[in-house]
Parts: sequence; structure tokens; C-alpha cells
Amino acid sequence: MGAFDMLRIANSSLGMHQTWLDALAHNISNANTMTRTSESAFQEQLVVASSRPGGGVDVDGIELGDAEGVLVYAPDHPLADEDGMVRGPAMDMSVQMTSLIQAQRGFQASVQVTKTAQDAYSSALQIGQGR
Amino acid sequence: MPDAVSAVLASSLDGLALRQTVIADNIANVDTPGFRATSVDFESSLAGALQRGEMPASGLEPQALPSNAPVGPNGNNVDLRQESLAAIQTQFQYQMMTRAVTDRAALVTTAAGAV
Repeated sequence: MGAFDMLRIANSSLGMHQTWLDALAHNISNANTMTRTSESAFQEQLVVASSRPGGGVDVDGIELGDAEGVLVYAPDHPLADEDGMVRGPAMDMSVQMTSLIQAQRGFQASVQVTKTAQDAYSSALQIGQGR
Repeated sequence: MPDAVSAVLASSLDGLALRQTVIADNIANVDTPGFRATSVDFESSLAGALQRGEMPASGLEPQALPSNAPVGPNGNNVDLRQESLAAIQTQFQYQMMTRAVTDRAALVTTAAGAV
């Protein structure tokens, strides 16, 4: 364990939550992205994280959601096929929005950890300073 | 006439001071297109000099090297989160080292009998 492990661990958490927030922003921004029925649908990004053995969290990778999507009847859409169908993402917006809150709160909590770490280090520097 | 311990403490303070300058430079250029972040590693050369027992009396000169972090679409590779946390850690390390210098000075004063 290093002297500044609390900061290092909080840093890993901030990084993971940043990646998660970026993925959610990407998903939500493409919630209405339609594709041709001959192509695959917009696939939501799913961040996969695991705990780091020495403390902290790592982003293992970003998995992609369902490529099948859902077929939507939109005959006026420029990408619609001869049956008037386009392919939309098979993504649950309520899941995206609750995850967004979770990721934001996780990020905020990690910022609080860095503040607490600073208080702890400041206190440690006061040891023996009985003046 | 600096002794070895003073040289180590001075080298460490020099390295940390340069690191703080480099972090400030990186954060100032967080949006500058094409800017490449730099970082300071004085610890490994300091540890190496101590291990070989070749600590120069004038201390070691810290150096800023370009970081090999991934470069973004505008050619910039400053990681603001990384830099902010490095700034916090460097600040505490600097406080620790100034404390070490103060305590050592007190020790020398005591040893000299000038209590």
C-alpha cells in the first residue's frame, strides 16, 4: 500500500464513472438514431468494470448491446425500406436515465473521497506539531 | 557545504516543485489543440543514485518528459482528472518534504547544543 492509496483508488473510481457517463451520454444521444433495415441497429454501450486487486476499479471493456434493434414503421423516413420500415435501437431509456443518476452519484461520491483523503493527509501532517 | 541528507531533501523538493509547475502548465493547456502533456519522474533517478551511493552534493536535476498518454481528436493528451489529483498529491508531498527539512534542521540545531 502506498502513502497516497486513497487518492489513487478514488482516481480509478472517477475514471470508471467518467467512462460510464461518456457511454450513457453516447447511448442517450443515439436513442432516436434509425438505420436501414439491411443494417444493424445502433448498439448501446455497456461498460464492464471489475475491482482491481490492489484496490480500486478498472474498466475491462465496453460491450455492445443488441444489434437486432426494433423495427419501426416510418414510411416517410428517408432510410425506410419498401415496406416503410426502419431499424431503431433496442434500448430502454428508463434504464439509461437511472444508470445516468447512478453514475453521476458514483462520481460525486468519489470526489467526496478525494476531499476526505485531503483532510486525512492534512491531519497526518499535523502529527507532532504541538504548537 | 551540503551533506547527503540535505542533498536528497533538496532534490526531492526540486522535483516536486518542477512537477507542480508542469501540472500547472498541463492544466493551463487542457484545451490547446496539439498540446502534449509532460510529466516529471525524479523518484526513480533519486532512488537509483541512492542505491548506487552516488548522490551528488549539489543534488539531482529533475527533468520534465513528454507523457505517452493517448492523444485525443484535437492532438491534445492532457487528462484533467489525472492532473488535478496529481496536483493534490504533489502538494501534500511538498508539505511532507518541507516538514522533513524543518525537523532535520531542528535535529541539527539540537545536536549543535543550541537548544
